[in-house]
Amino acid sequence: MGAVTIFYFQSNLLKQLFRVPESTDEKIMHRVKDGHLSELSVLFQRYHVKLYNFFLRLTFDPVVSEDLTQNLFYRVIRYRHTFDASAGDFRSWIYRIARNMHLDHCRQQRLSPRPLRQDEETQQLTAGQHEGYAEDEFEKLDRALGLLEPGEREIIVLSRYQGLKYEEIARLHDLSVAAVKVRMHRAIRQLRKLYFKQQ
Amino acid sequence: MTCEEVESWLIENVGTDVREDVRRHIEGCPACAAMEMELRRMEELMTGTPVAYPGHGLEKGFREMLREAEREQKAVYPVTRRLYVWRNIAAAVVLLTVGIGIGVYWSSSGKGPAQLTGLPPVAHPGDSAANRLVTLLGSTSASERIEAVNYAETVPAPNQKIIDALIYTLDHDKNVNVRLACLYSLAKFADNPKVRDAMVNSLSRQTEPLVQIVLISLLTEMKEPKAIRPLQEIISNDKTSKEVKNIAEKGLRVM
Repeated sequence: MGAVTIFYFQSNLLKQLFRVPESTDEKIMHRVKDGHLSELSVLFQRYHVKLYNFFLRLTFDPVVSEDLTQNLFYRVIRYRHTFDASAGDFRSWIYRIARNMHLDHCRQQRLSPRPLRQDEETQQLTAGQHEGYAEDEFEKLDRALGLLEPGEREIIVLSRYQGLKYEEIARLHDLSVAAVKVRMHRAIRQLRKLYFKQQ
Repeated sequence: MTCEEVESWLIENVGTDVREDVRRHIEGCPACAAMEMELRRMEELMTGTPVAYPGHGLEKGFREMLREAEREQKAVYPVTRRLYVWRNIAAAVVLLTVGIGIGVYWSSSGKGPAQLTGLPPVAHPGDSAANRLVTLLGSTSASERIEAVNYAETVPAPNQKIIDALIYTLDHDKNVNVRLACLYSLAKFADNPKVRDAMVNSLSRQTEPLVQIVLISLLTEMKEPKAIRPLQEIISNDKTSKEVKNIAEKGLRVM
């Protein structure tokens, strides 16, 4: 009886230590960790297109981006027990894995994340329609984005294309928010220069 | 307000109404007015970029991975799942008993933990499963080595050679994904004292934060007392990342 009582208090202590914030993604992940694997489908539906676009803007290669997205969810399934809601939310966790995967991909290809050449690979990404701007405007912007240094490109993709807040980007990069703002200013200035040089 | 401050404000406050003092500066400064238009145009393009959609194969592949993981979970953890329903009480009792048993065994026999091999695994005649694993683990392709680790999990009763090969790979493989897969597989044999010792020893060898976090989480779940000292060393090591230190501190509190 005494042992059971001790265990009961210990369980409560553990629950307090690893308290899960009231957030739907985190609740789902908590259940996935508890063995309800099928619930990962919900998170896949929420994130796979966004993450595919994240990889696409970094690699400008649809096939590689699909592979990276696939492998990302493999890691989520495989290493689900490493998710710790008390250390940060699910979105930060999955973007951190995505960033690392892109770097791993570059290492495996024995490439540094690189600026792209002019006219390389970017044309197909913007095929489609959009209001207000001609298609070639998006292509020009993609070309300019491709010419940025990898770190500058990534920070713009995370902020402007993926909609992450500066605080989230700061956590992902282990930087202060002020440092992220400085990098963002530099990256946007450079993008503006490259984009309008093409006009 | 300087032109530079106006530029910084505009970049930082994208999508919001322009502040009054910024607006006044822009109205009197043609260069900043042009800059504002250019920035706005770029921001509209970026936020308006059409979303690209992956092929259907991506979702199909994910469903297959998920089914595979569910099959694996059912095959490997049926007992564990039932224990979970009992709110881990039985697990705690079992762990305690095993811990005391191992402690009594070591103290009465005078033996230390099993000596772990530092040599790469080699194939031996007549042990086809272990030989196949050793061959696959020697592949230059990381994905093939991960497949090798997955293969080890399918061996119904893995012998010590297989366990040794996994331990060696955990400590020596240069690819982080292979080491993680290895760790995950070894965790399934955590009732083997040699595996637990290997995991504890590996704590001081691993430097990749992801591997460290998985390792610490597993040892914390096992409440492995031998992990306490290595965890303290990880926490006091300046090179350890902040996330790893956090997890290690929580692990210590639990243990």
